[in-house]
Amino acid sequence: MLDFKTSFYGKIFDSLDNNAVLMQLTNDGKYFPVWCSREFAEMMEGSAEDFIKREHAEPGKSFHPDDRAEVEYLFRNKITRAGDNSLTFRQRTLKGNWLWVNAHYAFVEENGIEYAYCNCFDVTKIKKGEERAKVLYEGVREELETLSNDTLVSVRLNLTKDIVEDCRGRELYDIDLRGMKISERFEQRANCFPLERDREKFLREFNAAQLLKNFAAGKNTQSAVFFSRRPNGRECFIGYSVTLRRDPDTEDIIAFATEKDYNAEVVSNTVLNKALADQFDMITYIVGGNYGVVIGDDADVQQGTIFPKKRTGSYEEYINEQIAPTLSGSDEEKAKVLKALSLQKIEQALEQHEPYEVNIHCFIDGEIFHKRFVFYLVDRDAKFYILLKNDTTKIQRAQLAKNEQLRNALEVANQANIAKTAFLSAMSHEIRTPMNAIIGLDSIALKAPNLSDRLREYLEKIGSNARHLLGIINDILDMSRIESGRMILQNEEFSFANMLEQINVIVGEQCREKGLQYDCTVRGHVDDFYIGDELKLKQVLINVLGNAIKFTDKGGEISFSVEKVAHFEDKSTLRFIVKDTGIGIDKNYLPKIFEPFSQEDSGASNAYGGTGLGMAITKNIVETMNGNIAVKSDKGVGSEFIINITLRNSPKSLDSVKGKKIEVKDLSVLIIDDDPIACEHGRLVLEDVGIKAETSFSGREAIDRVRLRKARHEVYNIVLLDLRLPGENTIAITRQIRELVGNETAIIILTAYSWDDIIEEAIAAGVDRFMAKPLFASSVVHEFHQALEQKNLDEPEKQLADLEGCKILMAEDMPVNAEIMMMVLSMQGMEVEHAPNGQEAVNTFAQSPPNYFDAVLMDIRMPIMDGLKATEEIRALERPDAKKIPIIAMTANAFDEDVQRSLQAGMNAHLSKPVEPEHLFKTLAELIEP
Amino acid sequence: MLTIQKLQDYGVNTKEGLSRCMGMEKFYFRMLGMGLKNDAFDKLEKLLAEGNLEESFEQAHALKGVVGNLAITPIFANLSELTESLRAKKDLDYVSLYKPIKEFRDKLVAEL
Repeated sequence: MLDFKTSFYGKIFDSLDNNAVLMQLTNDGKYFPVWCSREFAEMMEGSAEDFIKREHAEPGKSFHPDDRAEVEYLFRNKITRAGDNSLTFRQRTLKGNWLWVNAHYAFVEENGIEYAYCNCFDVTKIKKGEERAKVLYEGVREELETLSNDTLVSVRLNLTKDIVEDCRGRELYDIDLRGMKISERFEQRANCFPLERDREKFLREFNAAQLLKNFAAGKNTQSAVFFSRRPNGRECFIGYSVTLRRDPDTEDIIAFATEKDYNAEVVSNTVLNKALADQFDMITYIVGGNYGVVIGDDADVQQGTIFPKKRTGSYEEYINEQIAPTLSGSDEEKAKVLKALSLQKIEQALEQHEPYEVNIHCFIDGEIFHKRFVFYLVDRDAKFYILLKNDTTKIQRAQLAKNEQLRNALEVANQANIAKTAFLSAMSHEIRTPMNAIIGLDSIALKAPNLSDRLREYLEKIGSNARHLLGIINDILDMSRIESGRMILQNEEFSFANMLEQINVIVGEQCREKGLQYDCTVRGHVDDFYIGDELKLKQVLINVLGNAIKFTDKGGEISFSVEKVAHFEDKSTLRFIVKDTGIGIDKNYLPKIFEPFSQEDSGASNAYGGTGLGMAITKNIVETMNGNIAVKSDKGVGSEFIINITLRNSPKSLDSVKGKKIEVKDLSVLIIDDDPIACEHGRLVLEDVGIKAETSFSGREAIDRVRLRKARHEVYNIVLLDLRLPGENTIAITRQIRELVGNETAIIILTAYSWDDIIEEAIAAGVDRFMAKPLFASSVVHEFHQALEQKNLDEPEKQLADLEGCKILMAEDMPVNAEIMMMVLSMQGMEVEHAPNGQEAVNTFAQSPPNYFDAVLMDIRMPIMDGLKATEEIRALERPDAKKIPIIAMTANAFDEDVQRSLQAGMNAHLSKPVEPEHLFKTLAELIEP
Repeated sequence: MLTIQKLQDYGVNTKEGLSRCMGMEKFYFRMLGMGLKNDAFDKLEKLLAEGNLEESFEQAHALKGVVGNLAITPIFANLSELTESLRAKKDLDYVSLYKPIKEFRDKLVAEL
């Protein structure tokens, strides 16, 4: 080993403040240090001795394997490079770390031994930086040059050399861009932008000089969106972005330019920004109890803002400090809202459903604002939510305004409709009044004796035309009732058999007149009684049958069949089929047949007449009854109408009503009408069906009559009361009559007008029924039956006194009469005391103990004191029973004045002689207090 | 001797009369006797002859009740008419109006 320390070089080296090492090179190619400076040893993280020792032990092994060959080659061959004998390698320190070392070397020789003097620098830091730059650069290059799905073109531009280095992409241009000057490339690129603004902007921002300037200023990326035409002619938005890097190898500044299809992004951004912003003024995320505003600006909210004051912050603070104070409503409502907006509630709600929506009302600057909070879930476990907020005030106010408008419009429409219906109704009623007079006078005129045949024919024609006209008016009324929803269905028990019979009578007659064959069949079993609206059902059937008759020519056939098709619970569905061989209905018209005012053609209308309301009414009635109507027809062959109606079953059967039938001949009726014609007509109509009727021209007179009848204990079964009596209140009259007769008489209001408006008041006053004027014989019996049956059903069993053991005081001067009466009464178990005149009757009564007698029967015409005077005296007696003991007049005087007088004298009833025992018993039983 | 059949032949509504006497034939005949033999018939004849309309009315009215009660139909209508005419004090030949009534009554009384 060279004693280096003593050598000349050693002294020089020592004096050098340098990382120097002297390597001895052996002939067999080995190399190892013989000396190193202290600085070098420090660089090697140890002492010089240790370093030299290590290198002697394993020469060359501390060099990095990758670098070793180069070092060995240089030393063995003593390679010197012109001007630059330097070498960079990696060497392991004594602590085992790798260092990048840059060594400047020189070969020297002394005493035949060869050395390499190396001046070393630690370049680890530089080297690592370089490596990182390389890696970074390569990463960027790779990333930018690797074509992703939406990358259209990727170009590498060497700004330093002003050349396009590389170009790749999915939409390559026709020409190879490589080697092109950058400015040329940019200009060419700019030409692909159809819009001038884009061209200008592109050339201004993406020229080489500008990019270099940016790079120098540390701005390494730059991007913009342009509207571009692609090589294939397609136009789309592109995202043009440039990333600037210095190539670590060449130190050139490289621009990686990529063009991406931005259509989707532009669209979704637009959607996000515009659509969302349209609906929401704020988009915020909430996580960990804090919010962060993503989209939205307080400045955009014009009025009533509850926008968070900070872009981020505590959600709870925001709610408590900004929302809570603005809330409107009661404390309870406020608490409810705050609870709904609490994080806990949001979490809970979003677990159930998404989105979770809370609407609140805020009172800001004196106005109410409606706000909507919508929460979405981003990540359940992370409790990451999105809050979208918007102001719905405008919508709410618009909605309110719209509702208001709609309400107004509806009101106007309703009023118009009501007005129309009212007009129709009023007109029809007004027309009905003179029609009444026409029909009434016509029927009176027809009764006149010695009518010539010709005159009779005219009168009959007037009558039938008047009835036809009335039918049309009634149709219009029905329609207006239907349209105003005022058609009320009756729910009454009726005889189905009777109804069919009535229909058959009417229809059969009409068919016979026209020369048509008519056949009615009942298939299977149909009950005798049902519960429903008989009149309406009859109207429907007669309407359909009437149409069949109308549209069937002479010699044709009409069949009417009835069948029970279903039976469930307490209801039955009946099917009525009306079939004719008439002219039929055109296929095109069939769907319109049930529309109001529709008729197949004006020709048919002219030939057959009618308002075109019949079928519409029919359908409406059927549907109101929850039924249905259908039609089948072949032009020229005939038509078939099928009607299904469900009626309630009745417990009644024909057997059960036998014997209970009301005999119309026994009815006594009072007609009250200020119009003598109407009275007379009514009387004639009733006479036609065998009912005796009295008439009265005023309510006051009628009340007197009713009172007298009551006294005679022969009350009217039916009172027909005209709705409009001049100067009198029909309702009040009804009430008075009802008071007099109790529940015994059926009061029927007779009117040409609509009774819809007064129906409730009238029924409360005691009206049982309404009938339209004028009366018709065909309907009157039915109506009376209905009224009386209803009455019988309604009437509670009257409590009658038991006459057995009753004590009767009888004043009667005629011994025969007295004896008969005593016999009659005693047969019934009554005790009778006889007074031959009024005076004795008074005396007997006065001497009897109080309440001894139960009733007094009083003859009127008696010697000494007549019955009237005796009654007055009894009533005048000072005893408790004097005022209330029933006193019944019995007299051959049957005139109304007599009855009137009896009542004035204080009697309770007035029976005419000869007195029927049953009648007397009934009267007594009613008057004696049980 | 008067029988129901005979009465019916004379036009008396025996059915009605009997029903008023609760169907007791014997009682009916007794009442018939009482009624027909009533002296009011004679009084009325006398009063009418005297022209005492007021009193006549009273008697006629009373008789009408009895005749009605016993359903002596053939004279009831006549008697009623007479009564109402008297009530109205109409100037009529009451004697001849009353004659058929009296005759019928006398016939029945004779057969009792």
